[in-house]
This record gives sequence, C-alpha cells and structure tokens, in this order.
Amino acid sequence: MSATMLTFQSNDGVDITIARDVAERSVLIKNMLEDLGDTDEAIPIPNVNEAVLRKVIEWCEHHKGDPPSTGDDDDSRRKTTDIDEWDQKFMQVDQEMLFEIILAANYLDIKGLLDVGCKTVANMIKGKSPEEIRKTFNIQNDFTPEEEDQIRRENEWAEE
Amino acid sequence: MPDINSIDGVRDLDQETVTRAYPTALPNPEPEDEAAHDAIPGHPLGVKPSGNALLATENLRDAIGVFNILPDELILMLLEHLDGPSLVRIGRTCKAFYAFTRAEELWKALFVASPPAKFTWKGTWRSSYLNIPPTEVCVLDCSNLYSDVLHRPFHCAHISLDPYVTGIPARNQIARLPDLTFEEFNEKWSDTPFVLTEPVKQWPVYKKWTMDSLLYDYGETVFRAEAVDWPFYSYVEYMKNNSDESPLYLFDRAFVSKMGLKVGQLDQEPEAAYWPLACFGEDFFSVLGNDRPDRQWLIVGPERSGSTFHKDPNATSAWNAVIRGSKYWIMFPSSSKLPPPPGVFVSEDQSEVTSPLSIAEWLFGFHAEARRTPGCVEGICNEGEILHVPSGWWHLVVNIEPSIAITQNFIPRAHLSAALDFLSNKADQVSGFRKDVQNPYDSFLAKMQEQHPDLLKQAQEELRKKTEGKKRKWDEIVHGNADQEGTDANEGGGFSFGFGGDDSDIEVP
Repeated sequence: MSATMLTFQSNDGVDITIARDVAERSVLIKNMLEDLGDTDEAIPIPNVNEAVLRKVIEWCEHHKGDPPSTGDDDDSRRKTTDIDEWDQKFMQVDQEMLFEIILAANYLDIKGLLDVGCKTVANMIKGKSPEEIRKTFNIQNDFTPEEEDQIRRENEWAEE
Repeated sequence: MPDINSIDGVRDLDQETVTRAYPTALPNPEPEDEAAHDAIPGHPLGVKPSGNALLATENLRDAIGVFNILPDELILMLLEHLDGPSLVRIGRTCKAFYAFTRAEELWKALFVASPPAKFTWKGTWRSSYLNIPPTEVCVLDCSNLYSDVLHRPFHCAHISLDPYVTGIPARNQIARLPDLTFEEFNEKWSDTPFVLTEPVKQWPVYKKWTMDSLLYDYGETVFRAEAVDWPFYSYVEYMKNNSDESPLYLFDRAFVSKMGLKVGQLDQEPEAAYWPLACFGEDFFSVLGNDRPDRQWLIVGPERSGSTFHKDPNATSAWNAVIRGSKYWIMFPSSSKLPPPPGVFVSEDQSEVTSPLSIAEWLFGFHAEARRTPGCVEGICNEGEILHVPSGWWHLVVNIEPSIAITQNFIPRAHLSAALDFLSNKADQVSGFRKDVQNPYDSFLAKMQEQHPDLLKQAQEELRKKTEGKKRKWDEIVHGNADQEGTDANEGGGFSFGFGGDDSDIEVP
C-alpha cells in the first residue's frame, strides 16, 4: 500500500506534509518513491527553502490533475510564450523568488513549472531595449566602447 | 534543447537528431593547453571550460545580475524561449550574454522553426538566420567566461576522428570480400556484417557522381536534410563551411524520382544508374508494390556527419554503398539476451533509443569501452564499396570525409520471419509506410500468401518454433516442466498465424 500523505523537509528545516499525488508532479520525487518505496520520515529537499517549497507545492496542488507532459511539448514551448491566467498570477512574485522557483522546478524535475518560469522571464525580456533589459535584471554593461561599437555594427546587419 | 526532429517519422533516424541536452555527466573537455595536440582551435570568443573558473580572478558571469544564480544549462534553456530580435537584444547587454547568444543550437532551432524564404549559408546558423556577412561577425574576447555548456559543442565539432577510426583490433574487423553469390549470402552471410569491394565499381553512378557533378546537375534540386529542405547548392555551401557538433546529414528518400534516375538490373533497365546486387536476392517488401515502406535513400554529408546508434526500421536488413568518400561503421548484434551497445539506452518496449549523445560525445565517452565489448564489429567502407547491415544489428556510422552514398533496406529470405514478427508484434513501431496503408501486416501477409506461399509457410514455421522455444523455456522456469501446457499455448499464446492456405481466412493476432 502506498501512503497517501508524504512529508518533506525544506533546507531551512521546516516539515511540510502534502498529498502523494501532488508530490508526484515532481518526477524526481516520483522516481525516488518508486525506487526506494514509502517512508514515514520527512524527505529532505536540500536545495529548496520553505518559502520556495510552499510556492512550488501551491503550483503542484493547482496542477495535480494536468495530463503528464509528453516529449512533444518542446516545440510548442518555444513557439509561444502564452501563459494561462492562473499561472500568470502565480508568477507575480519578486525576481529573486521567480528565479528560485525556476531553480527548484529544474531540480525537482517539474517540467510544467519550469516551462512557466522560463516563459515568464522570456516575456520580461521581449520588447525591451538592451538598456531596459539591463535595468530589469541588474545586468552590468561590461563592453568597452570599441566592443559596443562592433556589436552595434553587427546588429545593423541583423536588422536589415 | 532544440529538437530538430521532423524526418517525417520515416526512418529510424530520430536518434541522430534526438533532443540534444547538454549533458553534465560527461568528462570535461580537456583544458586548452592539453587540447593543442589535437589541433582543436579555441572557442571563437575564447570561452574556456568551466573548470578554469576555479583559479580565475575575473569572471564575466559576475555581470549577468539576477541570472547569476542559474546554472549555464538553465540560462541556455531560458534563451530557447526567445525569438531572434530578443536574443540579439539580450546579447547586447553584456559580454557573457553575448557569448551565450552565440550558441548555435539556439539559432539552428529558430532557423528550422521558420526557415527564411531565401537565404545564403554564411558559415553559422546565427549568421545565416540574421544575414550577417562573416567579416562583420564580432570577435570579442570572452576568455574570462568559463562554460562547458558553451565550450563543449565547439570542442566536439572539432574533435579528430582519427583515434576512433584507426587501430581497429583484428577480432573486430569487419569481413572484406570481393563479391558474394546469392547462395553464399543466403546460406552463410545473412546474419553477418561484411564489406564487398568489387560490385559497386560497376555502377554508372560510381563512375559519374562527384560533389561537383551533382552540384552541376542537381544544384537547384531540393533535398531533405534532417529537418530542412534545401536546394543542393545550399547544402554544399553548408557542407563546406559549418561548425556544427552534429552536421546536418542529407538523407533523401525520393532521390530516384527527384534526380530522374533509372534503377534496375541492366538486362531490364539498360540505362540504369545503379542496381541492387544479386547477392542480396529479393526484397520481400516488394510484394506490396506501391504500398511498400520507404526503401532507398541518398546520403550526403561532410566529415563527422552520420547516424548515432540505431537499428533499421521494420527489422529490415540494409546495404550502404559508398559512391564517394568513406564511412566508419561500428556495429553490435542484438537479442533479448544482450544489452544494447555501451552508452546506448533503450526504452522498455525497445521503441526508443534514449541516447542523448551526439556522435562525437559517444566516441569521446564510450568508444573505448565499445571496442572491448564482445560482439563489436568495426570497419571502414571506402569509395566503391558496399556494406551489409544484417536485420536487427545496432550500428553507428560516421563519415570520415565528405561522402556520397546510396542505401537500401530490404527483407532477405533469411530474415522474413524477423520482419513478420516485427510487423505483427511491434505494430506501433512499424514505420515508413504511407499513412493510407492501413494494416501493413495484413497486406504483407496476404501478398506473401499470393506470391510466395511456400516461403511464407516456412517463415511462419521458423517463427512458431522460435516462439514455442521461448514459451517452453518460460514454462520450465515457471511450472518446472515443459509439457502439456506447451501444446495449449500454441493457440492461446498472444501470437498465432491463422493462415490456413485460404486467403479469406486471415486471422489477426
């Protein structure tokens, strides 16, 4: 018999108990449970803190009924940056949290969440000038004036 | 990562274009100084392997702001979600992002997803997509950026094939023979890879075709090269000047009609450009006439292009005739008892090869082990020679120099039962048939019954024995004896040919 509830421990030592089907949105967790069997002990998630883990679990709760992703969604992923409304609201977090969610989704192997995270960042880049992108993400301009000139010229070809 | 994967699902070639993840588990490329003996040029922007960051005092990554918490793989994945203009703009924010946006896989994916109506190949996917003349491409110093993800594909694109294709141990060496008769092939060689050195030299295409002659005669003809359809002249431009880790491989199944070739034995087709060799005998798929699956391909590619490990579709055998150039082959027999070749991972139902490795990565990481593995067969097929790939054999093939080849798949007499088995028991993996061919197995069975009833019966008998053999073994293990239940199982097994000699009586297992 498989347990219906599982407990996870964030890297700052907080235990969170959730339903098994929610946890199994994470391919990492799902495979681990298949390999190691059930456990009553809290499963440590060494790379994720409590705040991020709760956020990730919130997403998994909402999406627990989604059909499992297939390999085919790679293409559609690139073609569109559409994000459904709930996910858009969900992703309205500060930048640090957004990038932490992407990292956690990658670590826990939650394709759908990783995808939404990437699309959110892509949408923040789209339509912005290089200077606006720098401001948005705190990127330092480290080009010498000559280098900047070279890139500008290259870019003029690209725009033709 | 970009998944350049639209070969019409025609052939088991998926593997050569499988999703190309950037594996992190591979051995790191050697540090620059050691690589010198390999004569591998540095990364065009001077990007170094990740390990160098440990001793570095400066790191361009420090400039990328919030993105700095993401590993390189994730940064590249994020960039995959951007269109061309956004990629160009983020590339203008700082040197590290400029270097990231020079990653060719990003531009190859954009190019393939929406090919420019007209383009000139300019040496890289990025320059061709953005239409930047090679002389205008920036040469920035990014030697303070340390990234395996950016360095590795470049390294693999320049790896020398020599250490892998030379020094073949005698026990692995593929058999080389002048020619074979049908009887010899049928009796002794249908399960063995070999190279024939003589017959192809008689083909008119061997005497006539060169890269230049094809360019002259078919420059405007559009051929399929993996995910793109390009006129031959564009492909030749690409072939002469690219730095792809896995160069595009021209692989066209309609070349005979596109090039207006005549194919057939000389006595029936005096103007034949080439003819299937007598030794391979009949191809039993030809009983299907126009409903037969794809059978022949023209293959053109530069050095280092090729196919990663796969088995040919529908359990067919194949021959591959090198018209110009030369190819290195490494092959393994397969059976349910044998593991796949080193570095190759197969899904449970055998339908998919889940090897994310490019040819260069595989050679780099697994060739040495493969060479030591029992069953390994290796060899080089030179200009004017033809190689036999028996049904069910794993093979990887790579061009040692720019090559032109013709390949054809067929069902020889000896493997008729294997094809029947595949068509009926792996119906979901059957490939290469036109979409409107509803039930390949049934049609094949009916046509075989019509045209070769005796051979069909023989093949079915072989298959029944094989299946029974397996079942008996199973029963011995499970029930401790082989008897009574075995007889029952003849009918009850998941597999029965219900061919009673009457066409109308086809039972679908």
